[in-house]
Amino acid sequence: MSFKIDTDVLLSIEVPDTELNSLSENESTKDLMSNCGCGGRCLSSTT
Amino acid sequence: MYNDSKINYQAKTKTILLTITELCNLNCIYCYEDFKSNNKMTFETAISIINSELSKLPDGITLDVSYFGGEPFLNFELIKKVYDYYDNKNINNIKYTCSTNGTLVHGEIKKWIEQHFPKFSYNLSFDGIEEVQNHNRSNSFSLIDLDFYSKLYGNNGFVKMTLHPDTISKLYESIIYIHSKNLHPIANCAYGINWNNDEILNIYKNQLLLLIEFYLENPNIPTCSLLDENIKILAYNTNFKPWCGIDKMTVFNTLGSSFPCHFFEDVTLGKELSTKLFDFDTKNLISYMDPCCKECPLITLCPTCFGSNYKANGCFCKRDINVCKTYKLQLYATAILNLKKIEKYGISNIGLNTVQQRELYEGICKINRFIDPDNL
Repeated sequence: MSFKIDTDVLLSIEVPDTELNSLSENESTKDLMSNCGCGGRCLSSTT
Repeated sequence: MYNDSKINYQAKTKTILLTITELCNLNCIYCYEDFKSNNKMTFETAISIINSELSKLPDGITLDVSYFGGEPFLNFELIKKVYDYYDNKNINNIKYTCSTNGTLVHGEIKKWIEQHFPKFSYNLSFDGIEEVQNHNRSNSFSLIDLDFYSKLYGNNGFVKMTLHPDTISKLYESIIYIHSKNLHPIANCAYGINWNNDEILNIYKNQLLLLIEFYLENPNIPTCSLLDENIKILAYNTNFKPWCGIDKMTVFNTLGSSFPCHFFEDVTLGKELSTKLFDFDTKNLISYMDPCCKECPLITLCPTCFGSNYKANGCFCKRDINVCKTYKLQLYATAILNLKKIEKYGISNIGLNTVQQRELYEGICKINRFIDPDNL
């Protein structure tokens, strides 16, 4: 495996023809909430 | 000015972080606390802060008191005294967490934690296999009871892992090791460190590739944070959103002064820089977007640490770009992993609804357009 996105595979995917609305309207926003607001990437969570 | 803590209505908590000591028994190679002292928070200061916060707490909201340091268990007496004080008053809308290096969780401290868990819990900083943990974190591997921590959290806990160029070649082994302990690694590259080295970046790339293969072969193991970036957000052309916790909590130093985050305390910035923060507007973080990054298509997802920016560059806006390249590699690796999963299982069989499938696809496409891993 190489560190490269396989564009042939990418182009072959049959993606649902779903309309995307604003980000705040859908479930992916659940990922935005975390203990410190940034998915644990905040430095303040390291001692 | 910074005494403005936000309530997390989804989690029904309000978080305050108390730096209860500036002392630490380790000297981690990436430590950003350059101005440690013997300062410790007194019991009177702690309860003054907590009482003030409790008096403003709406019904149904729990106060999350998060202890920080230095190494907070060096002020264990304070932790116990505060716990007992509010317990004796039957004040139950408080919970406690502690960010610790784990080296003191033995004997009396361990027993006390067992007795008071989960109302009191702790988050462990841990970097991986013995060679890495010892190099990064002052030969502390043998001092940490990882099995105790894992068991306490019912094999569902996490460790906070910090990556350093010196030990990046052992990243894969370290993450596998952490998984073998039934713990989940939440990792990031250390800030304020020079990652802008082709050899280091190539090593990091190879380590991420090994991890991609691992997670494909082990789909039941939750993906570590490095390969679990929320690339679906890239499907939208939204504005820059600050991802740090700076406007989501209030931090108090040992003397009880408040700051927007731990990185702005004098233990990190020094007294001179930390006292120049009077004009930092936590309500208008978008205004601190780095103009050099404004046109980057990845800006909506890119984290930045305003405190780290300020410490490194004397300016909240100007990003610490040393982590820019490593973050692009993480996004790219996340895209590869997700594409491989789609290829293997089909886009409708990876646990996403149709909106999320479309978002993921668009996110991968955007990464493919804008990141060249060979030319960062």
